[in-house]
Amino acid sequence: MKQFYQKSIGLACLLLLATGSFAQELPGLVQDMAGRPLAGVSVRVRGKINKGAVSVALTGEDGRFVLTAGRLDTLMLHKNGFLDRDIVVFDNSFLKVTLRREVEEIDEVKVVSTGYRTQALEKTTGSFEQLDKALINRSVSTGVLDRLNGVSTVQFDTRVGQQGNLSIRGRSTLFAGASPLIVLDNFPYNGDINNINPNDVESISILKDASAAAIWGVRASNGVIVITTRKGAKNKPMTVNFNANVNIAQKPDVFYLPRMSSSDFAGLEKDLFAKGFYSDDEQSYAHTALSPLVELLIAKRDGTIDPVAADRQIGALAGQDIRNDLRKYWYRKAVSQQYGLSLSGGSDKNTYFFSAGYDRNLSSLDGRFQRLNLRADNSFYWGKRLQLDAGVLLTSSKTLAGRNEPSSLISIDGKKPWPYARIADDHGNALPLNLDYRESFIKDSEAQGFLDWNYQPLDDYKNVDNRSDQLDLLLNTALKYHIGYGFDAELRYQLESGQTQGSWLYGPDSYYARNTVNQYTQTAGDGTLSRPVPAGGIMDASDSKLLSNSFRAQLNFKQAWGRHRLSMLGGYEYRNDHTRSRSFRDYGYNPAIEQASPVDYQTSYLLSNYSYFIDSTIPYLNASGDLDNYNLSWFGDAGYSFDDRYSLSGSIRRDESNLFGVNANQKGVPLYSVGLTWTISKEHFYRAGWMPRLKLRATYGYSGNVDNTLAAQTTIRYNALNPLSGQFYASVQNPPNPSLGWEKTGILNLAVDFSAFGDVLSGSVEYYRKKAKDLIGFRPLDQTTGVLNPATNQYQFKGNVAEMAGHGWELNLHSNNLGALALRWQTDLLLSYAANHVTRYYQSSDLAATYAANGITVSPLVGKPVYAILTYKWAGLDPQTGDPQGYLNGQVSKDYNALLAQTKVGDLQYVGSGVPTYFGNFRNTFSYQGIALSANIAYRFGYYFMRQAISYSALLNNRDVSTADYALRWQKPGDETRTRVPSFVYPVNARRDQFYSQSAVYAEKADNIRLQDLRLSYDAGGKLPERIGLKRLQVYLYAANLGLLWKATKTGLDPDHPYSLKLPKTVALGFTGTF
Amino acid sequence: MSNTMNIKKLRRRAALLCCLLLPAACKKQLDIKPSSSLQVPSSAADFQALLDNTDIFNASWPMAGIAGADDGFILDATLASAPLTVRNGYVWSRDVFNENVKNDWSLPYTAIFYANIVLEGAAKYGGSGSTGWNNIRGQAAFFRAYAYWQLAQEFCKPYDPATAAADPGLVIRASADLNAPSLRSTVAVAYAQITADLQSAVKLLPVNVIAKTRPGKAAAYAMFARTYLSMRDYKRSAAYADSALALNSTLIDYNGISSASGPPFQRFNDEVIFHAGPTSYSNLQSPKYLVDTVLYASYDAADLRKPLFFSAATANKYQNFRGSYDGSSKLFSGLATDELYLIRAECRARVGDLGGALADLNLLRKNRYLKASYSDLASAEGKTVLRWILEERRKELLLRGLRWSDLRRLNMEPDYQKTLVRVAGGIRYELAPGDPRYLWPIPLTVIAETGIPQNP
Repeated sequence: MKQFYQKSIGLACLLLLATGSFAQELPGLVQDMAGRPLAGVSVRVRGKINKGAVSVALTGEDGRFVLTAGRLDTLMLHKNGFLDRDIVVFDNSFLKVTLRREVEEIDEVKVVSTGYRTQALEKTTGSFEQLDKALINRSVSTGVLDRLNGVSTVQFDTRVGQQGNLSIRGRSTLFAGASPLIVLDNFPYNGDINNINPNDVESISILKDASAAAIWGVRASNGVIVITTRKGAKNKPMTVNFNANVNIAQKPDVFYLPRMSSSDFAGLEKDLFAKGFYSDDEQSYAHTALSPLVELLIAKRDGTIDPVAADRQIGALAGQDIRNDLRKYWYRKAVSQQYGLSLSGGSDKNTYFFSAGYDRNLSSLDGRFQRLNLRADNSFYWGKRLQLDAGVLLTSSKTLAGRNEPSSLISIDGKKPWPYARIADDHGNALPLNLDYRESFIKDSEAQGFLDWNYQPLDDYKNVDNRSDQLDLLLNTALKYHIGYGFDAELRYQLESGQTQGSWLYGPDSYYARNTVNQYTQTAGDGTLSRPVPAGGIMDASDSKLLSNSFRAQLNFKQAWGRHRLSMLGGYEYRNDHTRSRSFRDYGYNPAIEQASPVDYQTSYLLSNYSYFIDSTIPYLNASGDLDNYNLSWFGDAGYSFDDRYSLSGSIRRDESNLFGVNANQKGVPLYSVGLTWTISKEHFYRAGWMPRLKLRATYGYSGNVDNTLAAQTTIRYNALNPLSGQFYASVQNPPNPSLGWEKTGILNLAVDFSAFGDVLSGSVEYYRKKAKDLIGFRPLDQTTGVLNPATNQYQFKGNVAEMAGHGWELNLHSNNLGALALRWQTDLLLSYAANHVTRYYQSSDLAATYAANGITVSPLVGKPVYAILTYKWAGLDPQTGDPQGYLNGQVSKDYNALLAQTKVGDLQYVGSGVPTYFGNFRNTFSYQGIALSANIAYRFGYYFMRQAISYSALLNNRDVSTADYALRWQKPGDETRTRVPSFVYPVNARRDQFYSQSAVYAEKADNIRLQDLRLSYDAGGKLPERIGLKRLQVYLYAANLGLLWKATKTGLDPDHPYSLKLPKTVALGFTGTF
Repeated sequence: MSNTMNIKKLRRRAALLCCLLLPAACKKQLDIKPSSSLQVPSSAADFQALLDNTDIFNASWPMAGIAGADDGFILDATLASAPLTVRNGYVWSRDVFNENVKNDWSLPYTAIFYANIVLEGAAKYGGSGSTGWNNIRGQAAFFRAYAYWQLAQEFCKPYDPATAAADPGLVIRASADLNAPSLRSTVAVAYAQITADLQSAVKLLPVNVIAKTRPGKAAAYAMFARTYLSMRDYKRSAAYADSALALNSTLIDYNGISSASGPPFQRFNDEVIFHAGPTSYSNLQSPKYLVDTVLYASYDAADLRKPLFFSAATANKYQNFRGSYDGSSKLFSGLATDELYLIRAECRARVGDLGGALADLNLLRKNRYLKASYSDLASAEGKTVLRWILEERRKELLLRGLRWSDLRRLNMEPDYQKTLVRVAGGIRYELAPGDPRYLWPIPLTVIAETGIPQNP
């Protein structure tokens, strides 16, 4: 067959080229893929014109050869351990030939895995990013994805509520899933990504454009992260690696966020009391808790306390600060330990890899996490044709929750603690903090025989046992058969079985259990109590089981002849993910005997905590779910390259799924990509010796995204038993939508790869454009349609209604500044620009209120970024009253109703993007005789955040003190020159608050540069490791979250954490080595 | 040797081929539904489950009529913290239903959308004739009528046969299709739709229901009686009240009810025919809502409703209402036999059957007054009897979601007109008979999106 190709190529050449024979000296050089000269390569000439003539040469130590050949003769190169190569001679210019090893070794050629195949990075047309083991292990973390932070172009969202979300090249969707697809070795990983032990990871490839992503089909438009685990290698003796580290995090800085002072709050309470603000709560039929200060004021008013003593106590309260207690008693230093041990090697017949990992974390809230990973990965070879891979990964993890975040200290009517609350006495003993009910009500109830109704937040968590156990088993097998003629067939099968068991036991002494029991306690006419919810614990248990089967059959073809290389693959994939979950609740649970008591779920009981008739049935929380997804895909991928100069690639995929109710013809969608490269530096005319490598790449293609919650037909969702009717009931989940389809994203990628000045500078520049269409979005509907979306509680319809566009570029530079000396200095620079905007959105409203946005939620305004900060124009404070002012129809206005209800979207002030548009890292590594120091600086530019504005209505109604602006408020004419904080008005006006909190004056530039981390390591050289039986030993110190170097905002806020506590500094110490 | 090699090769290749053909077998699995709780509704049980959604069909009927009617009042301090719609609705101001998408306009239309889904599903899957499916069709028709009637009381002019064909009516949503345009028809069309739906409900619904949240035949008759009363078609109204009472004529004797602490009446009590209530707003319920002092004073000492319906508020000198047939502080606005007796009494009086009217009135009063001091009312004068009945209606059906509709129809008769007066925040507000503010405004976004004409 090979000969047939040769013949046809030869024939083609004959036809194309003017024939003419010459025979002269031809010099050449043979190299391996890394550019090292290869000695001992036999080079034979087979004459095309003169078939008889045969000349043979052997390369020398420098890889060079000289022989005699004629035009269109074929050079046949052969060396054991390398793939044979034939080259047709066109002229007698110097010939450089590269031979590839039969088995490509990972450390020799940079390869990327797309999950379908492994390719040399050099050969790809697409946009890939590759992280090797060293880079992955540069940082210290329990989870594997954290290792991408700061060393790749993957962006980690820091915005409140979005933490932990990853994005590759910005957002490609509005409301469908925005996370990249995560592939573990060959199949998408469905389990908890925290199950993966970073020590088991060999490399991570990030697929950013359509070329590789299209092969993953409808789940790939957000990019793909392919995690490749470590394997054994053939004919290698056994090596044992270990890694152990301990990571310690500071206590969170509770004083970081500004806050209204206790004395300001106390003063406000006194003013409000005088105005009668608390009289409603004092009479409240819900027995609403009042702060101790207000209780003192009531006592003083009623004459039940000596006024001097009352004032003294009030003064004492105003001097307290709950944050002192939180810092001292609520938080602790977080400690994470990680241990890993692995064993690998191989013979001619098999390879093996075994590893064990153990993690043990203690959180700042006294929560505990443990994870055990066991992994085995073996390959067996029979002859030259058959290979069997078998792998198993077992993960077991246990999580025990600690305290809740202090932000969960909130009353049933949504009020926060008074800022001077104490949660512990001076000796650290927990104190009660009753946010739900008045002390007098608690005392009276107890006297009537109710359970103790006090809440001690500091140690209540000890009465609650909230744990979750996970067991995840991943089995992988692959059978590969080398058919011959360049064909390989492979069958892969993966079984994933995961189980999560949660048990949340509110012990009999926990506040939650006592409060629930008390609320349902019924008092008969004669004062006797009955307890429909029996005294005891409340147990919420849940379990969920995942069973995932994946199967893939794939046929590969790879052939090289002459200067042509062709590779193709095609196959199909079947996948079924089945998740079953159950949750149930038991009341009256006795943990000692593990027994519960039955309750009556049907009867409606009057709640004891209201003095009026509010009734409720006992919450019935038993539920089960069953999700069963089937996917069937066909895929194909081909690459052709000519002379290592030009290559062309293409891929196509068709996905079908049991997506709900989609019409049969819309279940499948074909997605494709095409790509081109041109290695200019290999052209004959290329003369720029200072830049030995210059390559252009281009790809274009379509990938998709899917929202599994939508359906083309009307769907309903069943709910639990209805307490009113005693019947099962259902809600309309989706109105009929016959035109429902997938989201599609087209991506164009253009790139230049280069290396210059010898080995000194290398890198790439990429430019991309994305166009996403048929995006799922919300189309507001006229309320008269009655189509109430149960998920959002809005009259709207979710369907393919939007389009968006994005573009950006990425610069990736690596330089060896001082490569040749004993002191080495390397610099890595990543700089990305990513921008997007909505190009089409079904809009029915042109009212500003629909679009005013703080950059945290998606605000789809045509022409603006997905995360835009859109604010009301600010006209300053009224100099007479300190009222905030805006513009309505061009006029300064204080009519807040009208400002919010009538401002048109065109009158909003667009501030900018809420997410960074320019971002990247600057990493310098110095090494000298085994000591290495690496510092990573992260920068983010071109974005904004909204500072928290004081909301007087939240301050009064929710005791929300989360800004220090109260002290800065306008109080008298003239203040408007020094402050932009509006005056306090009573009664409060929520619309006034809303208007100015969304006005432009609260926007701040978020640009910042921070020292992300430092890593110091020492590779013990010389005799020391050997003496203790080691081949290699490294000690490392790693410190992260080291703080800001520069920020644009003048406020004291970290622009990436304007509403929540900053990430605490961490420092880790670790050892790693090899036996 | 080479032959066996070839056969082996062939076999291997055949095995590979089989694997490649497998997908054909997998195709079927693409039809498996992905989630157990998510369904494409097709069975009678599925549609019944939609109808059993009490949030849609039983618990969120219009409330503005309660805010605007004269059953009680709200103190300034409480009013200040009330939601905007309650605050403005209380003084008949126009900015209502705009701050919350779930409002008096949208919620009944949500019920109508659900009913349409059910009716279309029943047409598609239900065939014709089976009792189970007929019950489902009947319930959906009932709910649609119930929703349109509620909407008509808030957004249309009171029914007047002379102008009904021209007065702006409701948007009639004939299907669940969200792309169907919303157009305002006339009052005549709205009431024709209500009566047509009730007609089919009467035919299809069973006599017995397994839960009072589901309508049965009696509920359909009762709704007919209520509808014709609001249309001032007394003859028909009386006839349907009669039909409903023929199925359930129970009255609770209040002499047997304890006025001790706790709610005096049970939810789903014997008088209740169909259970429903307005959207719950704490400002329109006890203890925040206080009973009109004149109304409270109108109950005489022997009237058992006085101790059963009211209790002194703890925070002030006024009275709270505690007589809801919901058995809690939430209000009841469903259908019950006491309303039917009062409808029949009124209609009988209006058509001249004074004996029948007094019989109904006295039967109700007998069950409401202290046994020892009860005596029948008797008069031969039609006007007196009608006035008695209307006073009794006022005392029996306060805070039942009916007063707004009653004010609208009674204001059409000079004898029974009333100007409502409110004082809030030191300002005096008045609502005269026939005031255009007896029609609530349609939410602004609806006007903006559909272009339908707004109420004055």
